[in-house]
Amino acid sequence: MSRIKTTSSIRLTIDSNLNNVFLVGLTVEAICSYAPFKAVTAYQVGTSVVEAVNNAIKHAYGNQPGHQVEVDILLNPEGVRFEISDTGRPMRLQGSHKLEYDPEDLENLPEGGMGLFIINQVMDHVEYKNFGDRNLLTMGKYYDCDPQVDLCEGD
Amino acid sequence: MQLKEDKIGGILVLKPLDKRFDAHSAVDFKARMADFVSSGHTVIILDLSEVDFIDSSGLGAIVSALKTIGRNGDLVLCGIKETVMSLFRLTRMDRVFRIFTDQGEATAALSS
Repeated sequence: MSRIKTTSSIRLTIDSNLNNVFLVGLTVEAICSYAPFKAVTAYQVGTSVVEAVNNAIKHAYGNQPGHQVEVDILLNPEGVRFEISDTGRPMRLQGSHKLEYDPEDLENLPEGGMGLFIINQVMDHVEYKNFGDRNLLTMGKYYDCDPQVDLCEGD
Repeated sequence: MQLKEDKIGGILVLKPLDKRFDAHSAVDFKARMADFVSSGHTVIILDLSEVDFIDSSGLGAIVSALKTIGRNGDLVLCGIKETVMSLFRLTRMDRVFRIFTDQGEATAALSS
């Protein structure tokens, strides 16, 4: 039987300091390792959440500490959903999930702008909404292992 | 970021000892790499075998170091774990860097 029969949730709240993001990353990685994900998928989902929290701190709050970033994690029988919210400046996300560059063109290799690309590549569902004074990024990922078996093919 | 430094001939071998190479540590790494390059180290092996996690800021910091070295030097990577490697592949950074299994293989390639 699947280990995840009902929906469970947890809320993490950190201050808007990049020094705190690893706490979210470690928690998400642990939860995703428990869930029926392949090891690489669990890692990439954790990275996507870290990227989303980094974006909230860097762009919504302009790297200023003293604000809250909330991460709600909902573990469902079918997959996991993350809701990352902040009360900073809304972000413009249109068209910014592309990552096009020539690997041979040293001078123009990207040093930034890869976070949204990673999120959009890894997650099955990504939605960003602004509710006046609150921004909410919702991301979902379906399990890629059979929840009925303990060992995951490809691990 | 804690960096272990070794010199093999004219090659500088740097090994980050932190498990997480993220947005917080990337700022320090970029500054340290700029210092190494300005002090004459332009052939560098970056051994990532202790790193369990890297995000786009970490990747960006390594790209920044490659640009700082420019075309008159070399920055190669080694020891990358499979999960971390998946992010290099996702962002196509595996096509930007020469990546070796371990320090021995990287040293041999740079010495030949």
